[in-house]
Amino acid sequence: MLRLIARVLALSIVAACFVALSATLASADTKCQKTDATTGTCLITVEVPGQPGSPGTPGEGDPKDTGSGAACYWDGTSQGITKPPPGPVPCTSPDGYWSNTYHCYISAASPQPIAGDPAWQGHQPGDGAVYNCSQPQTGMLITIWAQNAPPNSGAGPSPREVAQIAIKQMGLTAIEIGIAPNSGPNSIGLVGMPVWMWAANPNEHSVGPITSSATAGGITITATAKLLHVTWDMGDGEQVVCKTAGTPYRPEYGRKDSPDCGYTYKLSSVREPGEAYTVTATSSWVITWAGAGQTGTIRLDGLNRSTQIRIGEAQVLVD
Amino acid sequence: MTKRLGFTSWATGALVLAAVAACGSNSSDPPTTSPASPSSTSPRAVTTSSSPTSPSEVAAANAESVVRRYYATLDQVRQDPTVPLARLSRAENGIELNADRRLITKERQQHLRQVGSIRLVSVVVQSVSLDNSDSKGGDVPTAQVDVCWDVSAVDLVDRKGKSVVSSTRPDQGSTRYFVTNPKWITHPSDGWRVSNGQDLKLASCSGS
Repeated sequence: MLRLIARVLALSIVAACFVALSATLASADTKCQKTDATTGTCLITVEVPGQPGSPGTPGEGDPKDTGSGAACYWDGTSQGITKPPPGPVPCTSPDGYWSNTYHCYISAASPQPIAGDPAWQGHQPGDGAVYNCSQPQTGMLITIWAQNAPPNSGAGPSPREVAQIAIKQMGLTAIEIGIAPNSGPNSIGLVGMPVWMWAANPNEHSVGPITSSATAGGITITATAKLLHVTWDMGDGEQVVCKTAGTPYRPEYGRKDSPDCGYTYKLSSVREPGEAYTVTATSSWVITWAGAGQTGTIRLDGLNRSTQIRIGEAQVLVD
Repeated sequence: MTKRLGFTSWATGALVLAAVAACGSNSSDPPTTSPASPSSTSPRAVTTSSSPTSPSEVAAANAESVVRRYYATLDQVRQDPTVPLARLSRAENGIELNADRRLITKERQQHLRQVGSIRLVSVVVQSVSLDNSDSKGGDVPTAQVDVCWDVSAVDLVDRKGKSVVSSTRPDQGSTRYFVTNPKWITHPSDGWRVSNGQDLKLASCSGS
């Protein structure tokens, strides 16, 4: 009975491994070439490769920019392999160089199989080459015929670099400045009166959040960008950091202070160039990325836009 | 156990003999590969020779011998974790060696060992080619050897002695081996190694 139970357990493990391997290589035509007689499991798998699904300056307490991540990674979760868990692997080993595409170490079979060997997949010696695909995570050996050597993931982009591709796709922009008093030639604010600042016409590109994915070098990264804060340089030497997009001012608010992003000038702008303060809004983004069995954070600061506002002093006549 | 040496050949040629059906054959089996030989040969009646005389017969006998040594070595290495894996290279090379070394390394890491020995029901040399015209291009002396094996007395157990073998494992099966001699010039007799294997889709060794 114990033997039966053991066999059932073993069958489950073996079946899981087999299903996992099959799924790992599901994007290509695969089959077991040789079965190990003792275990009944596949010893040598052959595959014809298809087109496999062929990464500022933070403030205190803010999320920190993390490293580049490892270019070479193992991740069997999508194929049902949870042990070992996803994570970086050395890009080289005695078995060759790592391929994220195949999730194994690649080395050219040496010597190359003889003509007619099943590993050639019907090709003749000299037509492409046969490669060993060694998967230390499963102990499996897969033979691959390929016209050209599979890409060396160690020479490919890091997860951070792929995340940066995703970030570029997001089209992040500086906020469109909303400010009261506005920057029009006929508008002027007063010393001691509240100034309201906000992101006008907000959208996912200017205030987030926004998510994008990118794939390169066998690595797929999903990145999500969130606006951490907007730093307002008020032009008088002061800065205001707003952790929200701000609240648009409406006339009915009168002389109220902005609930979340405002400022009060103490001096007029008459001595400034053009008799106006140059107000600059700089966005600070936090981008979290995940993929390749890893996660990371990228800080993006520097997207900014400027405008000018005039601040005057109210004159009171006293008899 | 039967031993059938199913081949004849002309002096320099290679040949394919599919007539010996110790393991049987069906349409789903991989086709027998015609060796790339500079000289053509014609299939002839199956002969059995206990004392091979022609170079091809000698080569076939050596190929069969290394296949048997291959199984014996596998048994040894998997039964006794103290036996160095390097011993495998006495009987195999290339993809087969790579695969077996990897498998057994994993088994040893998991403290698994084989109990019992694989029984070879039949070993049949299906073809021999002594073409050594382009060793770097894949033309080295080659033999294809079909083996029917029986593992009904074989188990793989963990350190507590519990079997880890699937209950659905076939007790019998057939494998075609590609046996090569890349050292033909210097070691024509003992340079043969099992280079690769391919399942033959047979339910059993019933033809034996």
